Amino acid sequence: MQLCTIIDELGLEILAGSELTECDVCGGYVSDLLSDVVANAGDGDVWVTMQTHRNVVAVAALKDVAAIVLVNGKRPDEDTVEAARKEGVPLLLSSLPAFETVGRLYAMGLSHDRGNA
Amino acid sequence: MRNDNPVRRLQELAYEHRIATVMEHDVVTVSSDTLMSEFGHVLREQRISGTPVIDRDEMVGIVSIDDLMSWLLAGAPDGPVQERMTRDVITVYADEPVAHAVGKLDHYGYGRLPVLDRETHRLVGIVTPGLLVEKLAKALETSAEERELRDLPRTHFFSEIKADRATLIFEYHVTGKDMNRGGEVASGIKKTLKSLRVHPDVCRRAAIAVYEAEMNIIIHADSGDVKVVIHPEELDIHITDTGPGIPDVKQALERGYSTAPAWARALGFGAGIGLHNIKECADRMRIASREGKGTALHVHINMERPCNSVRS
Repeated sequence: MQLCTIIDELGLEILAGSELTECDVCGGYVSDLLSDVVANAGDGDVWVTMQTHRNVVAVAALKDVAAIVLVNGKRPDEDTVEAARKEGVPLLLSSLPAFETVGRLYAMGLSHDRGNA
Repeated sequence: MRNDNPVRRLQELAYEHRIATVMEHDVVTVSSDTLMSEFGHVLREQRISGTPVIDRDEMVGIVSIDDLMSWLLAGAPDGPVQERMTRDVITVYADEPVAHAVGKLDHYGYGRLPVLDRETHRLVGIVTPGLLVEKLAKALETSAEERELRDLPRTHFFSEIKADRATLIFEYHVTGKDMNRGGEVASGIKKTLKSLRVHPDVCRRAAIAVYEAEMNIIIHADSGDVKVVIHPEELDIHITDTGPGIPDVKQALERGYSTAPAWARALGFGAGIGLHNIKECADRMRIASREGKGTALHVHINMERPCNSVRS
């Protein structure tokens, strides 16, 4: 599934990486603990988090996730957006809480278990 | 045994991939009372050649450019599409292999197949021959790249160095308490190893181990150093800091144990699994620490043998 499909379906705002929305998304992961993301997120996952500081970009780049989805409409600091631009990581903003955001992604067929993807 | 025949590989991919992963989710539809003239406008505006007909969330038929042509040629008066649509629609389920869609498109000669959810029988997408060719070609390309990477010798960059013994060393400095630069060293090492075309599995493990160690230095120490030493068959990472030291190394290695301050926890650090992550990436790990002096961490990665304990 292409990232732009998710962006359209959930009405996400693109904060950085608008040129990268055709990339493929293989699954998803949600966590606000960075080491947990480092251990468990897969490359090509969309990562849903409420952390908005710039270190999320470093973790996303380390794990080659397809995109960071921030929730609750909580805008990140400008330096987070800048870091995402620099590292080439799509940074998206959902107006929905994490629960609803993940629920909709799951309903679209994304999951952490990518057995048949 | 590996199969390098591209046609055979394409067939395999058509069985490996589910229709859900290649279909178009955004389906243009009309309802049974849409007029043929309106339907014509929809086709022209959307640049498509047919649409499913949906009434109250249920698919009742499919109407195509062929139906439009025969209506135009007959010079018949305008009327709802239900008078000309096909009611016995050939469909596929989203969880079927792509090969089933290919078979049906070929057998019936249709330009599109509606995709249904097996449980709800609702329309969830559409596939066309063009879309399938595009997606399978992309998958074929990716699988060729993956195979190339998998077959890449883990230490081939050494083969061009003429020496009895060769070692590559990269050194980095980490400034403590500077959260803004968190992850920079790990990112630098990942990029460096990638550019040397070190095997992706080794790149990933080294980058994760360095990332966790780097964040530990930033959170707990004033400064530290990272040294990556690459031999033809193994990679060693030495991380030293002048921090407060770890009073009880065994306890620190327990999952969930953390001494991170509140400010770091608020940022999502201090989950107490950093050292665990490093251990998972290492073939061997050693920690030496003295209270008030600092900590030295040694991570050893054997490049001859892949390890997949931390999910990629």
